[in-house]
Amino acid sequence: MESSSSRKLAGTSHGGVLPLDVLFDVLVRLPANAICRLRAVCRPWRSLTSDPAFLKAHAARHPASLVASFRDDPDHVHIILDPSGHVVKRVPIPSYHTLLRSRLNLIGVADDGGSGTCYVIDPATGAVISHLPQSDRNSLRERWEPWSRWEREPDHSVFALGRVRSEYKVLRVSCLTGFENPDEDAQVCSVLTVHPGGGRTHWRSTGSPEFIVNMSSGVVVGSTVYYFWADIYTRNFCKDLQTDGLPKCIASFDLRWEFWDSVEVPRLDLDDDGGDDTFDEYIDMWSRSSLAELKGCLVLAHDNRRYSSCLDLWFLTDIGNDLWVNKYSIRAPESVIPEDKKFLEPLLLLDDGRIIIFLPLKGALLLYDPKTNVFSKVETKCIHKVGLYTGSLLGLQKVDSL
Amino acid sequence: MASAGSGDEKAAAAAMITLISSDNEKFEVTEATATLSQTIRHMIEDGCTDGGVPLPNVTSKILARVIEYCKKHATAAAGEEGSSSSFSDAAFLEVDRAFLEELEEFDDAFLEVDRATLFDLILAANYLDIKGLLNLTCQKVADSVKGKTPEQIREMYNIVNDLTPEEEAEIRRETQWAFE
Repeated sequence: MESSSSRKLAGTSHGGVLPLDVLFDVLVRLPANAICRLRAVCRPWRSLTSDPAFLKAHAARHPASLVASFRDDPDHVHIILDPSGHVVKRVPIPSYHTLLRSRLNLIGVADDGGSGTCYVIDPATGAVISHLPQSDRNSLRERWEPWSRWEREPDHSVFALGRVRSEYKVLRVSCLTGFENPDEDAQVCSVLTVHPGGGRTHWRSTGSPEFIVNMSSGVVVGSTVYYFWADIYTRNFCKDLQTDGLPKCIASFDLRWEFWDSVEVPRLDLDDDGGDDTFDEYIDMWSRSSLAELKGCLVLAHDNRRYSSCLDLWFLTDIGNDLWVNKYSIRAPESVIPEDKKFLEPLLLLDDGRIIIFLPLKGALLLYDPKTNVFSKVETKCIHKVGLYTGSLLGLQKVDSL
Repeated sequence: MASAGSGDEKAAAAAMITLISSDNEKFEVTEATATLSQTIRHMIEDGCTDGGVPLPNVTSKILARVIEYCKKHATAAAGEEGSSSSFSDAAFLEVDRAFLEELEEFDDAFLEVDRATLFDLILAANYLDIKGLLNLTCQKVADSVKGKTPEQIREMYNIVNDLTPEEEAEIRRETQWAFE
């Protein structure tokens, strides 16, 4: 049992004391670095802040932190305490691998060259949970023989890591480039299951998407991976705009049941002059949109500054009915968010309503406060890739090598 | 506000609750004010507030402050409800924003107290189960330790360090990043 003096926050001369349950309420609000410092105050504080119930409550209040790789340090990923930008931990990763954008208590890194390897790593311990081998070239070759007179090997692959119940699944989309003819471009997909304790299945082929997806646009929301279709197909969809309602411009892959589908896009506010230029406007719109995940929703970020001077964040609130809601219209000058094809990725909605936004072009993080429309910069080194880590920072162990 | 109709004194009187502090001081408050406390709300629902509600854990000095907080926040809540029907959306948003700003200013000023009073307010908010007040006061304490070193925190709260030097060194080694 704790002694009576240890059950108090402090015995002041006024007799002002806090019982442990109230102290719990106070300390659970603090960021992870402050709590780790508190552990060195005294034994009662150490045991309170190391208690499983406290860790659980803290994780619920601080659901995710940022994980990033810096441009000048490609061999590590860094867990970042947001919004201070302070690096909490540096985790070594294999050379030539880049961080996958996910929101899990594990991280994935993949080789974006041609070899197609991927690692799943637990940042808490630094341990490699799984090393996923390159593709089985024989199966790819067989599959693509009828399409082409030539043998083709994938020239690059992209990976997406998501959780399905207690397991993790990795989707791999490999591109086989056509010879001088974009019509012969093809994609082949496979899935693999990673068990949290280690161990994995082999790659298994899964159906290809109906058309070619834009491989750099992928985002994982829950157990679904979303991509834009490649530009050439989006153009075709938009031609049908007037007749068939909204085009299904987003491809989705359900990791649970392992099938492809498509999602209707929101009706975006283009200017009202209507008529002939709608098609061009839609094409233009797709060149200034990106996909993201916020609070478990798929988000379409759309730079609409040419028409309404706003950046809009559309949330897919009802997946079954393709229902989109424009929840944020952000007024940002060109000097803060430059106009670019990959202009921004909203990353994380904080407790106080502020949003952390990644600017891929600048490699910078911005804090945006929707209540005041004020932007501030998160002090970090130049970022290459960024994702979210949902594990507890209070349980991180020190690691030095892979 | 609930007591807007001055002609109906009976109804207004019926909606008053008497709170009794540990030092036996009596405070008359409206039901709308009192029910910001979940503890009192349950007592009202159970019909056990006749003859006043004794609060043996709360001194008159602290109870007066708690009531001040509840009055302000009950007024704000009632104001928001009342105004929604009588203003256009834009005007309502303006009123809404003004209310929130005023409330924030009130909260900031409310927290300008010494540490012993702040702790007593936390204990009262905890006992009376007033979520907003508990949030506000706990956050204030959390903010006051946020950027501090272990030494500074011990000094602030007169805490005796009962960790051995080895234990302390181990904690610092395990989570070195937090001390940088």
